[in-house]
Amino acid sequence: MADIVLDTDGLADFLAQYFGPANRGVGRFMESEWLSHRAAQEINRIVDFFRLDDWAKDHVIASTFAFMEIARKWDQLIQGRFRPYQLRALLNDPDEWFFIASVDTSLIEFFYQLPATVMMEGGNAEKLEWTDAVHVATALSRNEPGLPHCRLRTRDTRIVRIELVANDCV
Amino acid sequence: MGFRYPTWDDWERFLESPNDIDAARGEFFLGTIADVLQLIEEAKKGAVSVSLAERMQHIRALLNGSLVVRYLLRILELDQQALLEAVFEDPSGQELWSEVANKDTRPWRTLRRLVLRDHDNRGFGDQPYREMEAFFAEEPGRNG
Repeated sequence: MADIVLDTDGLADFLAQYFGPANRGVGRFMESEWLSHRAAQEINRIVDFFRLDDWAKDHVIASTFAFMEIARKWDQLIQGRFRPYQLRALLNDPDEWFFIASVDTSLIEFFYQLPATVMMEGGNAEKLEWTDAVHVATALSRNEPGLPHCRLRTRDTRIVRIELVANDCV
Repeated sequence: MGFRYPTWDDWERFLESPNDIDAARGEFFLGTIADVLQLIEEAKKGAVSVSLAERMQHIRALLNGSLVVRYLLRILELDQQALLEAVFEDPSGQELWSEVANKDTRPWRTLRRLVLRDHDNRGFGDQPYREMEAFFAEEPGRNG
């Protein structure tokens, strides 16, 4: 069992379902363009555990940075699927299974550990954008010794090549 | 008590002397988490003369040093409350704040705008925000 961190695109699709067919977790989250089947399963598992078990402690997590990126690229990412006032309601009072992680100094050591470039399958090196590194650092910051690693929902082809999180991307 | 937004020269001075409260020169500074991440990122990309390891050593020392511990330098972060208070045009949440709802603005700048936005609950006034905007307007190459 583990948390799952959503990157910006994953969060956009998650929110569209949360305010739409998944009805704030009463319904099921489904595979979509930016939410993989495995990520949807993980989210449903976490929501179910919170409903059934008082001791549940895994969370669906998004960084404040992912929300910031959604605000920057609202039309492109949200495409009219929900309105800003709905986002405000979530930020004001998130469900207990949803955690909004800060961009703060606790991320610094994890951010530092991430490479500036990533070796791709064809042998070429590609730059890792700092904006993507923030999501990875957020996921790394959730790991605890002896427990399963936090999952990271991303489709970014560079992130999935980072050794520290390669096995945790869903 | 007024706060100033630190320039890159200020940051260099703080990193060099994290326990020297005289380095603040009698002023209070309001930095952002974006500044610290950018200091690391530039060392990662080899854009500065110090190595990444050296830069990190200085940052660790700064975060535990007198300037920070004694609040001469505050590093503002983006937590849930700060986001909630800054990302909408007004408390109704009907519209996003126009200064951040713009994909053509670089993420460094958007992050700085969110954490430095002045509003009733913060109490540091709009001077640091205005200084940040003016500073990066003069330094387009720093991707601020």
